[in-house]
Amino acid sequence: MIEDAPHPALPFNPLHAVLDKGLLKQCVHCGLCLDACPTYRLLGHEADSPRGRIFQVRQVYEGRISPDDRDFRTHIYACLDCRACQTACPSGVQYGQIVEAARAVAEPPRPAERTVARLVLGTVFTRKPLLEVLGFGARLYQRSGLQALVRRSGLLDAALPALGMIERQLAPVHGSLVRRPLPTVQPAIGARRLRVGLIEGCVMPQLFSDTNWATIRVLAVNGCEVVVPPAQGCCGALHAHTGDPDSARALARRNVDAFEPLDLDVIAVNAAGCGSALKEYGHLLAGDPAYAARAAAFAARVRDVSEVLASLDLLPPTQAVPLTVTYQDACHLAHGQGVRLQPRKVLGSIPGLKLVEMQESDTCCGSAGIYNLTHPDIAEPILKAKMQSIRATGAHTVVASNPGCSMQIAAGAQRYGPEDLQVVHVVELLDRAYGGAAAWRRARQRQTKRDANAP
Amino acid sequence: MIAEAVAPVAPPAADALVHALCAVLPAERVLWRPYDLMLYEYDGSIERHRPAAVVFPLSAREVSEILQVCNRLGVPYTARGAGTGLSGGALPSPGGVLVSLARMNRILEINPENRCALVEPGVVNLRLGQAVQPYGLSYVPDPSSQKACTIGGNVGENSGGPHTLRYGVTTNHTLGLEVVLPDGAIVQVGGASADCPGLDLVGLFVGSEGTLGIVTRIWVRLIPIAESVKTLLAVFPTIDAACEAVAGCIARRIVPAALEMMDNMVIRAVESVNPAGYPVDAAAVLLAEVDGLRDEVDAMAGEVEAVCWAHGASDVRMARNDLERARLWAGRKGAFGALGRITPDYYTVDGVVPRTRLPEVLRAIAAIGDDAGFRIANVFHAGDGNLHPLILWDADVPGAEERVVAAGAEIMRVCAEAGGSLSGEHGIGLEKRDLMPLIFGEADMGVMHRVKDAIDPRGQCNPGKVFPTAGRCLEIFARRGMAVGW
Amino acid sequence: MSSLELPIWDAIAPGDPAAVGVDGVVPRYHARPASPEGVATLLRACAERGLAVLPRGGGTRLGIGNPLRSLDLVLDTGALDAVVEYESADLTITVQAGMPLARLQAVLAEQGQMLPLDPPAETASTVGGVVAANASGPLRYAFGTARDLVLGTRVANTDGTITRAGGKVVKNVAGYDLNKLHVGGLGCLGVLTELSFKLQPLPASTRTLALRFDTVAAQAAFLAAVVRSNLGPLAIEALGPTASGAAGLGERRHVVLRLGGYPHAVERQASDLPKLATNHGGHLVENADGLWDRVRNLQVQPAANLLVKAGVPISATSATMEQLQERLADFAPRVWGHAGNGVVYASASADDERTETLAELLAQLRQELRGVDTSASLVLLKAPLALKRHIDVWGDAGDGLPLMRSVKAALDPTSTLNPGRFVGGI
Repeated sequence: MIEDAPHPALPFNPLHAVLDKGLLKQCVHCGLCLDACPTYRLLGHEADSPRGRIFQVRQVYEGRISPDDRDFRTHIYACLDCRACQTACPSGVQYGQIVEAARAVAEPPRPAERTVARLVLGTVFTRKPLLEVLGFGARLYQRSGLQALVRRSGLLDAALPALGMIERQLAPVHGSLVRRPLPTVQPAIGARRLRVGLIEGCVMPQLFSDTNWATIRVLAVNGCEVVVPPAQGCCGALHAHTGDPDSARALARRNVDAFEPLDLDVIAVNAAGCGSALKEYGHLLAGDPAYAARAAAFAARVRDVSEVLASLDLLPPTQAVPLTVTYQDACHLAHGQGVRLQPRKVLGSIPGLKLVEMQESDTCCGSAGIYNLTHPDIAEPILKAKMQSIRATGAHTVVASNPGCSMQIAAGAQRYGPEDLQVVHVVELLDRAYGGAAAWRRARQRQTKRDANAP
Repeated sequence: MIAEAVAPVAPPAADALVHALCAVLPAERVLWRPYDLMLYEYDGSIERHRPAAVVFPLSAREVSEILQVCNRLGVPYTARGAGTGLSGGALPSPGGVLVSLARMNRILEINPENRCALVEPGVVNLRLGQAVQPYGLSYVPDPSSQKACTIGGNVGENSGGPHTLRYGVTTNHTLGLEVVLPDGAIVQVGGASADCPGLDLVGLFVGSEGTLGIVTRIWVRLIPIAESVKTLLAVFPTIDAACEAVAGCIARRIVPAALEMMDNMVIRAVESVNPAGYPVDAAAVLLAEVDGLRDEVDAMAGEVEAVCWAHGASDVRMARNDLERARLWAGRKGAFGALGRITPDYYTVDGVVPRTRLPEVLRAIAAIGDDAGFRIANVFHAGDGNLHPLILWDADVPGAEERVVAAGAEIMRVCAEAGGSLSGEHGIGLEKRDLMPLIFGEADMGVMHRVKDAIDPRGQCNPGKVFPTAGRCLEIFARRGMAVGW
Repeated sequence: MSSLELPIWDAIAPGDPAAVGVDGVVPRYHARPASPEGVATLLRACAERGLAVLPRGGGTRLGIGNPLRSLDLVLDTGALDAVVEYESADLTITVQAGMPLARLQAVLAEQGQMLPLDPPAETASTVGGVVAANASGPLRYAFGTARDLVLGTRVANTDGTITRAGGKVVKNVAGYDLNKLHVGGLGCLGVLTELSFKLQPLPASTRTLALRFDTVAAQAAFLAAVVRSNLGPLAIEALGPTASGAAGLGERRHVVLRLGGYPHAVERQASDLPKLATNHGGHLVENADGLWDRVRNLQVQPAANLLVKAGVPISATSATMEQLQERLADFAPRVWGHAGNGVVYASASADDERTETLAELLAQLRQELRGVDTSASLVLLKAPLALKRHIDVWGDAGDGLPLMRSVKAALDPTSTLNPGRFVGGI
């Protein structure tokens, strides 16, 4: 310990307001989490291990060090929040809640990090129209050839290195330039088995609109009526991860309001990071009497789309998808939600598809929200190792379940190969096996006819 | 005594120390600021000691230079792997240097033809297992902390694990070592070849708890992965019945690969955190694993099953696939941690008794708990007679500490009287050094002392571990329980 | 017998010094203490008087080691031959060091158990002697050597104390594992008076397979395959042509496998291992009764006065066998080895005229083996005195020698025990 006496300059300990000491006490400092932590493995320093971070938070909790301590802030923000330690922990310590509480009382250590966080999260993600404009701009930039030109010139790196860093993460993604908005309600094809609310996401519609469409199609052909309430918005995951619980709570309330009246069986989400945050709404809004119970009810309905699909008796796909693929376990799916088998089960139902497991598929790719922007020095070696694991499988298609991972891995492929690597969502492959958009149009026409002929 | 032989380093000397260390290592691999040192004052045990500096060498040569600095300045030093140890072996001496081997973590060579691998001490146990698996080979010792603990730490503590029942502990799988001796000399003892002439120094170093030098390379033995494995879960209405089934297996000449027992408290804790499918109303379950050729595994599993039924098992289940097997084992491997859910604090005791004495010893341990007013949970390597009673307590209750101390010592006394030992795999470290007289006489300890002095005449190599302190008795261990005192 | 004017006279039972000499040296005294305390008292008395002591068990391995610098008393442990504690259900036993290994095995066999330590000539050998000499046999492939089987020891020290290390339980990490220093320590640090062992059930069924190979390459390829396989024989013995002849197999290269365990498993091994041999150009040959005993006793060859043991990495076993066969060709060697362990033996007859040539040859072989692996060794387990005078029987003990000297100085400061016999003149 630094001092035995509580910190004299701290009459009020802000951590006490946001963190239950019981969560800290659950840690028995056995150290079983160490090797699961990507930053500990890279840096080899106890301060950058889950056990070490909990220890530091405990020191702040007990007033031995200040939350403003620069070292404290550095180590707390160096965490990827990938939750691999939660999988490793035999005591069931809720590490994510601890680190997010710590971030709520401690500012990011680097000015650039604060700027990026404020800019990206505070301004962009909370405003849908702005996202729309920037999303179109990004797609245009990627597809017009301007991106290639800028990259070849090296101008951006010379002029604005920070922006260059952000630019490099903007990997070319597939999909259409002009995005087609999702329907508010998509009826089930055939008999309705479930009424499913869909989380549209904030980045997803902009850069991964095809994934959302594929999600709607595979759910609908499997008897799900899909509802996409327009009033929904960003889930607030990144805000919670980066020490802005107030924004996270505001966003959570908006989503609870948007979905609550719809009488849904489940709420499906195709982005792992969002799913993990949505499932924690009950905890996030526990202190809000008006919302606590409603948020818990909301959270209880949330499922990753692979969970929904795996729970259904899937309509057998007809078209072979002759690809060798490898599956990246998104941190917030595998560690955050314990969902590992379901996506693999869905992949296993696709004819012609061969899944080759990569080493350490559940190790973080380094994306971690905006971590790759704020901590490129740590994120880059983590990404490099991930790309090596991917290359070793021989697969040229990676299946990922989170937009952040998809962009990061696509960016990694550009830097470390293989250059022809495709990153796709599990629902896109299933959609292909069902015949994709073309088969979908035919199915819908048949359905419309049937409906018209019905008495 | 060794602990007192080295005076704590005063602050000015500490500066000289840091300067001297920075002269032999790049500054970024020397930690000396209080904030950073704070992170190295704990390990998996209950004790806390803050180092004067933490260094991260990358080679034996650097370790040697660090030791020479320590020798010059009269500073004690302690090697640390992942810091998962439960007896405080990797905690620094007051004012001492902590030598973290976490970054010396390369697997240097895997040689399937010689069935051995050469690794650096910071390699994580499980990662070695994963690396040799594609060759159809395995590294046997599998402590419950295997996903984090290092081979170097395993060598220091002579670690065991469930699968050492049939195949032996770390010392049986260590072929050779490169060691930096206390005088800074780098020596190789043993190696890939059989039967090196002279004294078995490899055998001496393994389990010496880092008190004779710092290991920088390890030649480990690998064995072919068995063709077939079967895992059974046997459910018992009483602990006695489960114990008798263990003795029954041994008596029937069955030596399973692993034979683990968990009592009801442990079963319930495991099921509440990470359900493994153990029946929560059972008094005890035995987790047995047999391996070998598929032709014999069925027969062995059948015999184990028959023994369990014969000793009153209420159910015996066989894992049907790898997934079920992994789930049964995940429960066992996570059992210690899971107790964090049912108690504010717990204190892990590690003792060994002859397998035939298990029923009476477990009864005696339960009685100790009753007398002292503590619940005691049991999860242990039954086939080896290696007990792990976990005393559940609450540090917030005034006076509980002393009673936990006394109960732990009492359990050790029962083990010693049953013809057993103070530790099967966690080591003596700081925790049990003052209990050593329970099993070793003055002359016995004297021989160990002479060996220590012969190899570390300055007494600077991880002092204060293993050997009893004069006068300081039992109050040192369990001063605070797990999870408290952070 | 000359008189010994010592207060410990009572501890000394009558014996015949001339019968217990080693390397041509006849001791002044031969003692056979009746208790561990007697051993300790005697050791202390000798240490105080500067007398040199040679501990002796069954006398089957006294030829191991360099010639003693001096010898005054042979300390015979033969009177310490009791079973101290045997709890068969624990699969452990504690016996006194002078208990003959063969008698121990007979006691265990009654309970269907065994100590899986099978060095040759065990009729006379004592457990203490076998452990101190680190003698082993073919079963080490499956069960390890003495270091893996000894759980605890009681040792009489030269300061007159009797100390314990380890214990009686199968798993124990309390304190330094001093047992390891005495296993193979040749009684140079103290005299073993009591040992606790980990036992094994006797295999329900056993079988011996003899496989013949026409070329070195075929034999080597098969050995590499069987070592990697999980078919799990108890022992893998590789025999050169001469050794094969001695075992009654005909003078070709052979691999003899010992199988044991559940009958179904043995059946499976007996069917799969010959197939594996066939894949590598070998074939199963009929073997007569007693083959296994002949193989494990290949060392016992009264006519041979030279026995060397090479320790190499497992994969170098075949090459080392060939090397010894060729280089010692002039001495008509018998060469065989524990192929799953990297241990190769060669026995031969060395006449005094060619001592220097042989010494040079052996020194050269040592060099060559070191080139294969830095920890490789060539030890002379038996050699004529003339040869011992030309070459250190142990060879280079490596980096650890200074440490071994320190340990020796700490535990036997007066150099009372076996002076000069062990590595580096310890």
